[in-house]
Amino acid sequence: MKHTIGTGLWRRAIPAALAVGLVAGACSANTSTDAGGDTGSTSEDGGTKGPRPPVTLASDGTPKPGGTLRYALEAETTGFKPTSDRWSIVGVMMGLAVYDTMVARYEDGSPAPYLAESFESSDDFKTWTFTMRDGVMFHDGTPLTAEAVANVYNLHLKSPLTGAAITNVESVTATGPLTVVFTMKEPWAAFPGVLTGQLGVIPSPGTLADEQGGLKPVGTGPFQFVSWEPDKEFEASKYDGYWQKDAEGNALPYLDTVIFQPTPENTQRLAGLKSGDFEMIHTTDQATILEMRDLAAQGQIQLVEDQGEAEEGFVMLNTSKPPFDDIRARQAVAYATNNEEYNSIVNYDVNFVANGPFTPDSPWYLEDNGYPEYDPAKAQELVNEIKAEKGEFAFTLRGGGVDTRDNLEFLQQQWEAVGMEVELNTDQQNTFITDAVAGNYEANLWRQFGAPDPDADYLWWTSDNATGGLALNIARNQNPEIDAALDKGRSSTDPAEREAAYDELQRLFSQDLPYIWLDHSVWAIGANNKVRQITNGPLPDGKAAYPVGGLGFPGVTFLTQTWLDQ
Amino acid sequence: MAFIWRKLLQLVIVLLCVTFFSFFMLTLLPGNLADTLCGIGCTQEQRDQKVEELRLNDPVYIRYADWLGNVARGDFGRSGRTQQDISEALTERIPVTAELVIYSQLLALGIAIPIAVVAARRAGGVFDRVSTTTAFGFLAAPPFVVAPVLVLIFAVNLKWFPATGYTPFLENPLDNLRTFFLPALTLALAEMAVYMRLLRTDLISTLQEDYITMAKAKGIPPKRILWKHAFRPSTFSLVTVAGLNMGRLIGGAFVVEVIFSLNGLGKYIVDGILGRDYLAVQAGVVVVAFAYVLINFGVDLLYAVLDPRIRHARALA
Amino acid sequence: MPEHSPEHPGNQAPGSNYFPSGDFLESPNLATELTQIADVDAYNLEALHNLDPDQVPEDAVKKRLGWTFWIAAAWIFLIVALALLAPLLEKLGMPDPTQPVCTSRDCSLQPPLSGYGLMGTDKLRRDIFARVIWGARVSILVGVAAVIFGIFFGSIIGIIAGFFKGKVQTVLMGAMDVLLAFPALLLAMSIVTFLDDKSVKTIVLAIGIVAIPPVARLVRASTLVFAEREFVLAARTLGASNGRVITKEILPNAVLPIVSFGIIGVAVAIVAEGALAFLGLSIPPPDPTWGSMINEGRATLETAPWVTLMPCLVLFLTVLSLNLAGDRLREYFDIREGAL
Repeated sequence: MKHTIGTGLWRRAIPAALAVGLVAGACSANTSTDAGGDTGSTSEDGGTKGPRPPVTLASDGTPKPGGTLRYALEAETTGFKPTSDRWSIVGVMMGLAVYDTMVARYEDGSPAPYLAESFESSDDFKTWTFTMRDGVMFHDGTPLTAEAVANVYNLHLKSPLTGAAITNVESVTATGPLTVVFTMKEPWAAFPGVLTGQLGVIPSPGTLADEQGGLKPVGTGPFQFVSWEPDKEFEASKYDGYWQKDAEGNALPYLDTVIFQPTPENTQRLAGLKSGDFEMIHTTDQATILEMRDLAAQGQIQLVEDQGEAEEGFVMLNTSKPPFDDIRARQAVAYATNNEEYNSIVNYDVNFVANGPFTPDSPWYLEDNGYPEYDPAKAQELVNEIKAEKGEFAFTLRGGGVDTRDNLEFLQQQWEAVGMEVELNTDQQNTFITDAVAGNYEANLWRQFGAPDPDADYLWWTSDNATGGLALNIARNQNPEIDAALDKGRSSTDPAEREAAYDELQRLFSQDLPYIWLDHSVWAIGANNKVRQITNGPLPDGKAAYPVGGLGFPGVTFLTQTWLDQ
Repeated sequence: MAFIWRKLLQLVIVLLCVTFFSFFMLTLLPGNLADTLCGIGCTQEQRDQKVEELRLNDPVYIRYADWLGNVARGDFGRSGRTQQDISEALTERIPVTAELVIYSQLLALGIAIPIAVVAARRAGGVFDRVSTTTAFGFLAAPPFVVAPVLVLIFAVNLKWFPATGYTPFLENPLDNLRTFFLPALTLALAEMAVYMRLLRTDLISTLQEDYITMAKAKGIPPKRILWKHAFRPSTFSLVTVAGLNMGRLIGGAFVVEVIFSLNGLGKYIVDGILGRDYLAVQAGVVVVAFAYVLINFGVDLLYAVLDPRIRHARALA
Repeated sequence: MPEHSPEHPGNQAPGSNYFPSGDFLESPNLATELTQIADVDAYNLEALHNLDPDQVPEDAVKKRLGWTFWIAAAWIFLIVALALLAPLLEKLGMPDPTQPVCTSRDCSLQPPLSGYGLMGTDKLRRDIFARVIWGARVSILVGVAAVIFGIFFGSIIGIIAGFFKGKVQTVLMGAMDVLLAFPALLLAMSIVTFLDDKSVKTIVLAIGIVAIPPVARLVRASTLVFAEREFVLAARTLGASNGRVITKEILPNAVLPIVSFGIIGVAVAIVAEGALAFLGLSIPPPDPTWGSMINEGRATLETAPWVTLMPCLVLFLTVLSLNLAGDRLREYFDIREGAL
C-alpha cells in the first residue's frame, strides 16, 4: 500500500492514488496479438478515449556513456527492503535502479526473462521453474544463487505486507545452483507476470538479513547504492560489474549516476525540468501534463505518456455497511455520476473516461459491460425510494489528501443534486488507507487496478479477502460468481477462455457496483532534451520491451539504457 | 550572576515542561501508538514487539525519563515513516532551516536598513510615507500568499531564480544562495517591514537627541551625523528583534519550507504531524523549543549586558 | 500613565521580559510592556503600532483617527456586512458558492468580469465572488471567535498573574512560556490533527489556544501598571475586595489595549486559519475558506491566476485593514489615556 506522508498533500488532483506496491502487475501467458501496451502514436482508436498526443522524443544516436541523471519523483518511499517496505510507484522506480526484476515484459505485455534467464511451467501450471543467469554478482561481491532467490520469496511468503499477493504459492525451493522451483496450490498460468515489480526484485541476502537493510539496498541492478537522505535524494552510481550489455556489447548502464529527488509539488517538478535542475520527472497531474504537452510541442522538452494499462480512478463503496450495503444506493450513485463531465472539468480531458477496470486498449476491455449510464432522474428516483424507506441517504465521501478536494467537491455537487447528503473528508493518505482497509468508511475516492493482467488484482477482488478486521478487498464485495471468474482467469492459459472469464467479471462489477468508475489516469514522463532512451530499451534477448510501465506500476521505466547526449 | 543562574534554571524548567507536555500528548493520541507505528498488515507478534520496544506498558513518566536519557545521549530513535535515524535526519535538516533563517534575516536587514535611513532623514516626506505604507502592506501578506506570487514573477516569468532545488552551501556557495533566494525573500518581506519601521522610528527619535542637535550646530555634514552618530545607537532594538525573530522562525518557517519543498526542520515536523510520525515530531519539537528558548535567553543576556539602562534598572531594583 | 513613550519600543528590551519574574518586569510603562509580548509575532505588530508614519514625534499628540482608519473601517464593514448578508445576497441572485454557475463546460476557469461574475469562476465552475463572500463568513467567524477565546482565557490568566504576582504569576506565566516555546502554527496544527476533527469549533479552539499567551502577557502588563495607580490604591484603602478591585477598577482600564490587540489579533487569526486551510487542516470542503481557495487555485496559477489571486487580494486587504484599524485605535486611545 502506498504510504505517502505529508507529500500527498501537495499533489494536485490525484484521486486517492492508492498505488499498491505489493501488487506486481501480473501478466498473462496470453499471446493474443492485440495485447495492451502499444506505444502512443498509434492509439487514436477513440471510443471513450480522447485523442492521445504523440510521444515526443528526440531521435536516438549512438549511446554515450557518462553523466548524471536527476529524476524528480512525486513522493518519497519508506525504505528499500521489498519484503517489508511498502513500495508505491516511487519505491519501484528507485528499486529498479539497484535491483533487477526476475521478469520484465515484451512489447506485447507478455512476460520476458530478465534476471531469470528462462522460466517454464509444468503442463498443469502448478510448478514454475526459473533458471537464473550465471555469473551475476550482487554489488557486495556475493554471487546470485538460486538459494538467494528462494530466500527472497520465502520471506515474501511470510511477510504480512507482500505475502497476500502470492498466497497461491505453496513453496519455493532452490533445486540447483541456479534453479528455483515455485510450487502452486492452484494452477497459476499468469504467475511470471507477478515477478515484475516489488515482488520481482532480488536483494542480496545481506540486505534481507540486516534489520536496517532497507536503508542501504544491495542488489544486482545497474546502479549501486551510494546514499539515501529521505525526502531529499537517493543516489546510486554505475555498477561496473553489471551483467547486461547492449547490442554492441558495450557495458550497461550508460549513466554514471542517478539521483532521485522526491519533489511532491507538481509545479516544482515541472519548474525544475524547465530550468534544468532535473533531467526527468513524472506526474499524473492533469494540469502539469497539459503544460508539458505545450512545452513538448514547442520542442522544449520530451514527453512520454504511458499508453499501456492505466490505473482507474473510481469511488469505492463499502458494501458491508449502510448506506451502501443496499444495492439501490450503489445504483443511485452510479446513475448520479456523470463521469464524462468529471473527466472534462476535473481532469481537463487529459484522462480517459472509464466504465470498468480496463482501458479500451486493453485486451480485456469489454465495451458493453452493462455499467449504468448517467441518468440523474433514475438516481433521484432511487434516492427518494431509499429516503422514504430509511429516512435518510447520507454518507461521507473521503479522499486521501487535500489535493483531492476538487474531485470530491465535484462528485458532491452531482450527488447532492439528486438528493443525497454528502459530507467530505480529506485525510492524509495513510490514515485514509488504514481506515479503508479496516472498513471504516462509506465511500472513498480511490485509484488502483493498473496491472496489465487482471489476475494481478485477484487479491483485491476475491471474496476470501472481503471479511475480517483488515480486508484487502476493500469494497468488501462478496460474490461467488466473481470468485469463479477470477479463478478461471487465473488457471487458464486459453486466451479466449480467460477473456470470457474477465468479460464476465466486468459484467458482474456492473451489477454489484462496488466501484463507481470515473477515469483511467495517465502517467506522463517529461525529460530534458538531452535525455535519450526514455522508454525501456531492448530486453537481454534483443527483443523490444514494453515501452513504459508494466513493472508493478504504470509509468515505471528502467534507466539501464538511458543515456545523455551531451 | 545570580540573575543568569535563575534564568538558566527557568530555561531548563521550560524545556522540561515542553518536552513532557509533548510526550504526554503522544500517549493520549487516538488509536494505539503501537498500532499506528506498526501499520497495516502488522501481525500480533510484530505489534507485541513494538509495544516492548517502545515500552508502552510502562507508566508515562518512566518512559519519559527513558526518552530523556536517550535524548541526552543524542538518540531520538527511528522515524516511523522512513526508518531513518532521527538524529541523523535532524543533522541533515537543521542546517537547511538555519541557513534559511539567517539568509532571510540578512536579506531583510539588508533591504530595511538603507530604506529606513533614507526615510528617517526626511521623516514625513514622500519617500518616508511611501516606504512605510508599503511596509505595512507587506505585513498583511502571509507567506502562503507571497510565495506563489514570487514564484510566478521570479521563477516562471523572469526565470531569474529557480523555484526549487537545494545546493549545500559548502558545495557551491553561489548556487546555494541562488536556489535559496525565493524562500528567503518570502520570509524576509514581512520581517523587512518590521525592521524598516523599527529602525526608522528609532532613528527619528535619536535624531532629536540633544547631542545630535549639538553635532549639527558644529556643522558636521548631515550624512556623517546620520551614519556616525545616530545610526549605531538606533540599531539596538532592531538587533534585539532580529535575534528574537530568528528564534521564532526556526519553527515558524515551515510554511515556506513546505511551499518550496525545502527539507528543513519545520517541514520535518509538518510531515511528521501529518504522517503520524510521532517520534520525529517529538524530536523536532525539542529542537525547535530548545533553539527558541536558547536564543531568547541569549538575546536577553546580550541586552542586559549591552544596554546601560537595563543594567542600571537592575541595579536599582 | 506616569510616562508615555509609545514611540520607543526600544527603551526596554523586548526579550528581557521572556521570563516573567525578571527583575525589570515591574516597569510601570504600559507602552513598553505592550511591546514585550513575547510572542514575536505579536511583538512585531505591536512594534508597528508605535511606528505609524503619521506618528513622528512632532505630531505625536494626534486627536483624530485619520482617513486611513476610516477607509480601513469601511472595508472591514463592507466585508462583514457582505458576509452577514450572504444568505440574503443569494436570494437576490448571487450564485450558490458550492454549485456550478452553468451546466456546460464553458464556464470553468473564466476570468473576472468576463460575464461570469465579478471575480470569475474556478475550476469547478463556481462563482469566485460568492465563494469569497461565504469564505469571509468562515474567516471572520474563526478570527473573531478564536480571539474572543484567547482574550477570555488570556485575560483571566493575565489579570490573576498581574494582580497577585509572586508564585501565582511565576506558575501562570511559566505555563505561558511553555506554550510559547511551541511554534504557534505548528501547535495549532497539532491540535487539529490531535483532535482529528476539522469543524469550526476545533479550528477556533486551536487558534484560540495559541492566542492565549500573548493576551495573557498583555493583560498582565496592564494589570501591573494599573494595580499601582492611584484610583486602585484609593479603592483598596476604602476596603474594596480583590474581586471588586479587579472587576471594577482594573478590568475596565485593561479593556482598551485588549480591544486594540483584539482587532489585530483577528487579522493574525485569519492568517492562521488561512495557513491551516492551506495545509488542508481547516473546515472541510465544499465550504469555502480563503486559505483553501488560495490553495485550490495554486494548481492553475499560471493559466488562471485569478482563482488564487482574488481570495489573496481580499485576505490581504482585510488583514491590512484590521492591522491599520487596530493600530490607529490603539494609538488614539493610548493618547487619551496619556492625557488622563
